[in-house]
Amino acid sequence: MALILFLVVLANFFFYPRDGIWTSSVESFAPAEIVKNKYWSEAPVQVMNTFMTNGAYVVGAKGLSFTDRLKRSFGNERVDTSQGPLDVRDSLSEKEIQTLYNLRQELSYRSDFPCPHDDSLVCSIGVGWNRDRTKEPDMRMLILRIGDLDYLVWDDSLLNLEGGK
Amino acid sequence: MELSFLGLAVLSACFLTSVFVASNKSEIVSFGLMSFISVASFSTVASLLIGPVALQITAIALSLVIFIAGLLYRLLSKTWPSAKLIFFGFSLAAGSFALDALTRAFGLASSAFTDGQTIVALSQGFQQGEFDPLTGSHAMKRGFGLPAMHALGPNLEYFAGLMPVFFCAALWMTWQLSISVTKNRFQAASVFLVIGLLSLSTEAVARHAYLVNTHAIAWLIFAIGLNYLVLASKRRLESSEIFGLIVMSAAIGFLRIDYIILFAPLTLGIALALANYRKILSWLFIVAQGLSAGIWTSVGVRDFPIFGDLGPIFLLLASALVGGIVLWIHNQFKFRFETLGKIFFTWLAAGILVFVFISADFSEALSDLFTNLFLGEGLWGATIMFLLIVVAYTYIFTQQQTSQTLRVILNVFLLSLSAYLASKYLDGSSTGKGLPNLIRVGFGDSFNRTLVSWIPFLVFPLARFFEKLPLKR
Repeated sequence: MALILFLVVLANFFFYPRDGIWTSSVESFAPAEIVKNKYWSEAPVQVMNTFMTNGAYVVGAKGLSFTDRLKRSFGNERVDTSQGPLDVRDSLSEKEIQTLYNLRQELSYRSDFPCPHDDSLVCSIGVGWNRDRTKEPDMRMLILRIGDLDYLVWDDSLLNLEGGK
Repeated sequence: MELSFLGLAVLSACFLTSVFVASNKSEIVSFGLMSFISVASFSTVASLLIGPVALQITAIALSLVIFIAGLLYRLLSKTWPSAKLIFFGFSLAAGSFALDALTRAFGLASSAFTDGQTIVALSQGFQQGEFDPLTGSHAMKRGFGLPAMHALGPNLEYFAGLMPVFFCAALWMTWQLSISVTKNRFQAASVFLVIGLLSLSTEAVARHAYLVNTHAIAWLIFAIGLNYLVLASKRRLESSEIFGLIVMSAAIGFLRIDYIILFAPLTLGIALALANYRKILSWLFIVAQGLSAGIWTSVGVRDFPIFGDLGPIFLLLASALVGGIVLWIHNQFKFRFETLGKIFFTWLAAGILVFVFISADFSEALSDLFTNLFLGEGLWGATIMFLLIVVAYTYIFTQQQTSQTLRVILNVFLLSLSAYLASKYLDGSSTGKGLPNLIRVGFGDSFNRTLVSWIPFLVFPLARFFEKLPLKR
């Protein structure tokens, strides 16, 4: 029994998904600040499980540390792994990139994860969406690279914001 | 560093008061925390009626009143708690301060969760007096007791160190339950070692150390209630224990309305045990839930789904009626708490579970449940699989007879589980959007998170598993 228990504990720590027990280094315990700036962190898959329907599509999922989990949640056919995250750093203006950073700061749930472009580095990712589209069936979620170590997951209404780019 | 001084002072007062009224460490923990829920809730009700300044004044005043009442009780009875219990009470208070300081020093907080953010936002509304009552069933699910406790945080912050206090208390009471259920300390330690290691290594459980939600509190309440149920099966409960039960019952009513449903089988079992010798106390035990629920819904809920503005009064009268019916059944049919161990209740619970799963989106619910519990998306790791194997082994391969008390515990568990899922089903059905989606993939699924509430029940199969262990030398 002791050995089996030990193996279960090991499996819990090293084999199964772990998304973090808590948020650390929180900047404020004031609820208004927490809600406004989304100070509490959460793993991207958990956010998508909670707020997207099973019919959602995910675009740009190649090479992510959590691609397999996305497929388990949404199905292989709904997770596009033909391409990695869409790199918008050169295709958007500085102002547009800043808009994306603002969206990430204020409207997305953030966490750290191994960088898709170099898994020895730690990148920051935020998952957010147009709140008018919460739980909309067949919503397309785009995974974007917006900075050297910064990623954003947002629904495709972003394409309308960017004038169709 | 600014600590949650008001909340900590009130919590400490509750712990120290419980030293006066309790006769052992378990009662200090349970009475202390359950009374804290009530004090915070009463203070918040006062602030909603009078104004935000009443929150602090009422909290401090109530703490002093109960402290002085406890002190008077000891003075009049001319008996004093032992030095050990006094030291324990002070340790709990000091431990709460330490947890709050640690939380603030490292900036520890919940993983992101909208319910949690709603709860702390509600608490800030209570502090500012800018609270807009939530409506109907939504408000009753959101509850009152937890945001009320967080409203005792400083300067429009929530009570940062509160959730780890409840988490640690839940583990502690589970240890106490292990002692009550097993034959010796070695077996108790073995049972608790399994539960403790699994709790800390399983993220779905460990997250509740800081998750701003009531599930760790529900875990604590089940541990307290089951401990009392086991004790009641062996001997007559003492006055301090019965008093602690009534305080726990009031806390249930303050926390969430659907907790009255979740804990209904436990409530019934305890009420029947009490009815064996103190009928009025059995009745009061049930009424306490309706009274506290009626108090907070009268100010905290708009558009009560049953009888509108008369809804809170309905809750109180319904609890009084239910209490009376329980006593009548107890008298007429000799319905004792042991009767809850009958096979009929097992089939009843199983029937409700089957009905709910068939009526809901059956295949998707089971598939999502499997993904959560066995494929890791619910953050349970290998724990559920391990526990299912242990429980199955315990009941298939061990030769011990199942005692009447164990059958009662099993049925309380099954009835509680089926009552919870039935209430979820009814809530889902009320939206009118086709078959209710009972379960969804991910930690955020409410059933996935609620599972921690039933952790104390694991003590029983694990105790059975370790029953053959030698006595400690």
